[in-house]
Order: sequence, then structure tokens, then C-alpha cells
Amino acid sequence: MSIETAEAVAAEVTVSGPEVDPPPAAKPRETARRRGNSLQKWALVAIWIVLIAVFGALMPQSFLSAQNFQSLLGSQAILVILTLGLVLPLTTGDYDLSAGAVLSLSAMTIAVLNAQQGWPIWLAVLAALLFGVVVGTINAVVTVLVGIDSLIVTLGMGSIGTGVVLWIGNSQTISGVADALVEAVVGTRLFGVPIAFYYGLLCCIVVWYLFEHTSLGRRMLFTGRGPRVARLSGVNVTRIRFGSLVASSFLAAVAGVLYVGTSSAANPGAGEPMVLPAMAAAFLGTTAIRPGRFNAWGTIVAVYFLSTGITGLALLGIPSFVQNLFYGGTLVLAVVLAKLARRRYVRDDAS
Amino acid sequence: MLNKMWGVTALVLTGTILAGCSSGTSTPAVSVSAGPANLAAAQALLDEYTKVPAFTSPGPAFDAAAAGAGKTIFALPSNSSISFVEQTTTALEEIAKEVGVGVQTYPNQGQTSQWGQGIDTAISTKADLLQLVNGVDPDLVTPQLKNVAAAGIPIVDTHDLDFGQAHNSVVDAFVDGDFVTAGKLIAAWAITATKGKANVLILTSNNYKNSFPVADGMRAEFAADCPSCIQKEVNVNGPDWATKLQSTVQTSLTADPGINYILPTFDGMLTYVIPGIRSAGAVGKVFAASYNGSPDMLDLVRDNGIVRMIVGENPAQIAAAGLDQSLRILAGLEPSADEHLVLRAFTADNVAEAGTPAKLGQGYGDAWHAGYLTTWELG
Repeated sequence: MSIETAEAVAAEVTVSGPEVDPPPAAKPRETARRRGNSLQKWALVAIWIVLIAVFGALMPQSFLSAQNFQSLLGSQAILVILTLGLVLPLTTGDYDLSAGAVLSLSAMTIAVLNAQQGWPIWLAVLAALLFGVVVGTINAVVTVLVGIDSLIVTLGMGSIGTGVVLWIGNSQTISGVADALVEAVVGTRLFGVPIAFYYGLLCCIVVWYLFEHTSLGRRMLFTGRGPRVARLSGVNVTRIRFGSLVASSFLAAVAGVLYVGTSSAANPGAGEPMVLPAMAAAFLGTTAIRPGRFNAWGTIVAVYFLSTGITGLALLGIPSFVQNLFYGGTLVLAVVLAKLARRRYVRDDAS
Repeated sequence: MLNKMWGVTALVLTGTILAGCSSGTSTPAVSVSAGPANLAAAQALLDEYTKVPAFTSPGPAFDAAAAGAGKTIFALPSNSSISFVEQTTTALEEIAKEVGVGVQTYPNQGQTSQWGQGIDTAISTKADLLQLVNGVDPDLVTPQLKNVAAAGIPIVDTHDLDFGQAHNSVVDAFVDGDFVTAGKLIAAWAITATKGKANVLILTSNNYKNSFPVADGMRAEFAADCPSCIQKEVNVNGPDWATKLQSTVQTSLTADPGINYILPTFDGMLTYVIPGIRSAGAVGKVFAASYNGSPDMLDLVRDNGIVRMIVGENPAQIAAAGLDQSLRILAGLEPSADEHLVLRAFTADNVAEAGTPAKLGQGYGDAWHAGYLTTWELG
């Protein structure tokens, strides 16, 4: 599903403008439409609950244990933040394929500066975040100001980032990062859940607030749906796209900090394998909560829905290729069902 | 439009150059000295490892059934989508049944977050022991392993490190591989096959920790038995094999037409090395030898073409060794210092013993199985 398709679904699904009372004859149709929208809005959450129930019935001792859920919530915080970062440029119509490399770069920067060079951990973290902003700025300059497709630019920057990671880390895993960071990421727990989960939750709330309650969020949406129209309406499209790409890289760098805090080490290939799951979660998230839009809560539901499935399959001891089938199959199915559901509502409306 | 094209070209070129400089790190060609090659010593080393391996008991016999009764070992493989790892895990489950100890496996695709979740699951399911199988790097999950240790669950790391490498102190016991000897065997083959005139390209993959000892073994053997042999090294990390190995081989052969052997640290790299040799037009002049014992690569040895020798390991014996170490811990015994994981050098002369087509784990005899059963007082 392309960004345009997702946004097209959004344009069809969401009702914009002031609410007006429909004429009496249109009321049943409107009710059916609202019911349909609600169904679509919560369908993924409902399937998630069913999934938990099925795995819970199969493995009540292990799957339904508090520790399993605590582990599930804590371990996906990195993916949550990376995905939320990707959602920003996706909303404004750009891709960021360099996010995985930025995650690796951030993690490796901290490991090299702290474990090898003896920098204080806070300074190493600061440097890592700065690297994220620098990469994001380069992405933004070349994409927005030079006018090259973000897909190509971020792919190239991702490759450069990976090269730098291998270079500074000498192609090796670097361990021995200060315990203070580990303590701040997974060492501290709230209700038994590693604090990393709450960092992800905080990011989700910030992105939700941005999209739903600020004019900037609205302008981002307009920019993504039609940059020309947005520009003619007075939206500073250049600045919006620029900021989204920088913010995406910054959040990828934050995810890198969490990665090091979780592992107390950095390996050169940490981030790249996460890009596709993050993209999958971002697009799957457009089928939930705010159907058709990249949205914060839909994203977090999608991440945890997918990881619930993977965890359940792993606990059952199912061969690992089934995890790929689950990941890909769920994504395609969810998006297709969302599209079909939408067509039905449109047909109902037309009749 | 033209400006865009220039921009794209510049970006791609910059990325390519930087990535090329960093990932495919290479060292200049070296030879230690001009001394004569000790072909007899190299051949003697090879002869020792071309036979079916004998079993060496890892330690005193003990009642394994009693140690494992009612216990569950939580097995965390490094990456279940890798055939060698999957075979080891399957073998572990099967051999554990013979002993009467339960095994719960956590299949995964090698992501650090999945390892972390698996380790947490070992705690939540109250496993009696956590076994890291075939390369779960403890350094990447140290905080989680500390939680395991705090929960009183012992940890065993199997087939991850060589004896000489730094071992993570959170882990209770290790089953170390003899990766240095594997490297020595590869070099010994190149020395004898070229009659002491080896000019080799060593391909490492340093993102995997056991690539280091394999390469160390090669260097040590060249230094000991063929100081005049020429060695050049290039590192290509795992994720880049598909995109960089072939071109690395091709350009290295173009730069130095005297290279007569390519020695990758893992035989999975041969998939990309062979096309590199072919596209450089060096078939019949340049050969390859490596380590692991993947069946498809052993089939190439039987064909007697480019790949001339593979040092193989038996995943079933690795599984038995991991189980032995785990049961010793559960029995309250001292862990074995050396489980004596076996190696076998497969050449055109003995590769048929690995099966036609080759099968993973075949060609190592049955001595290990009978030996472990005796050690566990089950035979």
C-alpha cells in the first residue's frame, strides 16, 4: 500500500468539516456508516484480543503470565519509537529508509564513545542524538531543498550510515556500555514493565497530540495529501517536510539509545532488520483507531499486535518461517479487509 | 531534471564509495618470511582430521537421567531460520528425550529483541536451565542474562566462542568450539594443495565472533608451516555477503592474478565466492576451502571443482555436548572444561561418507552418540 493509497483511504473514510444533521431519509445510512467506521476502527484491536485469547487458551501457564506481557511490552519499545518516527514523514508524503541505519549509528556511537573512549554516558547519548539530527538534516536538505525523491535519498543515506557504523565499530559488536544507561532503560520497572515501554508510550502520546490537537499536525496531514493544494492554502510545505524528516531521524536515534540501554552493547547490524517490521507496523496502523491515516495509537496497536503473534508462535515452538507468514499475511490481509470494508460502505452510501 | 539526475548520481556514488571503504575492509598482502614450507607438518595436521572423529569423554561419567528427571532446559537458538542452528536444536530435543529431560525451544529469527523476550520467557516459565544455542551473543543480552542469574537459573552457552576468546562472566558454563583448529586445517590444505606456494585471499566476517579465531588459526598455520605463503585479508560482514563478496573476489583476482586459493571463514560465503571466481575467468586456477560443513557446500567438494576442502562440524554432537554440559550443571557437578567438539576435513576422497547428496551431520560416525550414552550411564 503506497502512502497515496493510505491517504486516499483516509480521505474516503474520514469525515472532515463541521458536523451537520443529515436529512431524515439519510439517517439510517449515516448510522450504518458510523457503525461501519467504528467496526473498522476497532477491528485490529478486536483481532488482537482474539489472538491473545487463542494463545492464552493454548498456553495458559506461559502466555498469560504477567512476566510474558511485561517482557512483550518492554522488548518492543525500540520498534515502537522507530515506527512512530517513520510515521511522521509518511504522513507528509515522504519515506525514511535510513531509520534503521540511524538506529545502528546511534547505538554504535554510544558504545564507541562510552565503552571505548571513556566519554560520560550522557555525553555519548547526546552525541548519538546529534548524529540523528545531522542525518535527518541531510535527508531533508537533499529531499526537500534539492528536490530528490525521499526514497532514493534515504536509501543512500542509510547505506552511508551503515558504512560509517562498520567503520567506527570496526565491523564488530562493542559491549561494556555504562550500567547507568541499562538502568535507565530496562533496569527500572514500573508495574513490572521495563521503563523503556513508558518511553515508547510517551512518544506515542506526543505524536498523537501532535496529529490530533495541533495545527502543525493538521498541516502535516494536508501536506501529505496534496502538497500543491497545501502550499496554495498557505502551508509552508517545505518546512513541514523538512521537519518531519529531521524528527524521524531523531526518533530513530532515540531508538538507538534504547537499543544500547537494552543490550548494554551495540552491534553493527542492529537497525536494518527493524525497518521492514516498522514499515509493516506503520501501514498496518493505518487500519486501526484512525482508519486510513498514519496515526499514533494505530501504530502502537499494530506493533504489539504483530509482536503478540510472533511471541505466541515462538512459545508454541512453531518453526520460525511461520513468523514471516504471520507478519506478511497479517499486513496484506488487514489492508485488503480495510479496503473492502470501505468499498462496501461507499456502495451502501450510493444505494 | 538534469540537476536531479546529477544529485542522485552523486549521492549513490558517495554512498557506494563510503560503504565500500568501510565494510569491505582489507589488509595488504603479507608473507611472514621467505622460509621453506613444512609440507609434511601441514599434511600431518590434515591427516589427523580426515578420519572419522573418535569420541573423547568430556569428563567423569554421571547419572544423567537422575540429573535431568523432571527438569526443563530452555533452549534459545541464535537464529532458527539457519539450517545448522535448527538441526542442532532438533537434535538437542531428540537426545534429551533419550535422557528423559524436557526441552522447551524458543524459535526466533535472530533479532536481539527476540532473544531478550526468549530469555524473559525462560524466567517466567521457571526453566531449570537456560541454554544459548549456536551463537546467541551473551554480550548483546547481558542485562537480561543478569535477570536469569538473579532468578537462580544457570546459563550454558554452546558453540559460540573459541577457548581463547573472552567469555561473559554472567554465563555459568560454555561449550567452546575449536575454531582455531578449523582455521589451521583450511590453511594446511591451501599449503599442501599448492605445494607451499599458496597465495591466498582470506575472507573474514567479523560481525560473527567466531570468524576471528578461524582467521587466527589460518594465520597461525601459515606462520608455522608456510611463512613464505602470501596472505591478503578482506572483511565482508554477513549482511553484505550477497552484495559485496562476489565483487570483492573478482577485483582481488584482477588486482593479483597470482592468487590461487580463496579461504572464507564460513562456507556460506562460498555461494558468492564461486561466481566471483567464475566471472574473473579464474576457474581451474583458483580454488576454495572453508569451514562449517553445510551439505550443499560438501556436494561441491564431491564435484571436485572449485571447492576442494571443507572443515565440517556435527550439529548433533554439538547438541549432545550442550546437553552434557547442562546436565552436569543440573547434577551439581563441575562443568566440563572441554566437550571436545569434533571437526572433520572433507575432501574429494572422503566426502562420499557425508552422503550423496550430503546430509547435515552425516560423515562423523556414531562414536559420539555411544560415547555420550556411556558417559551418562545410559549405555
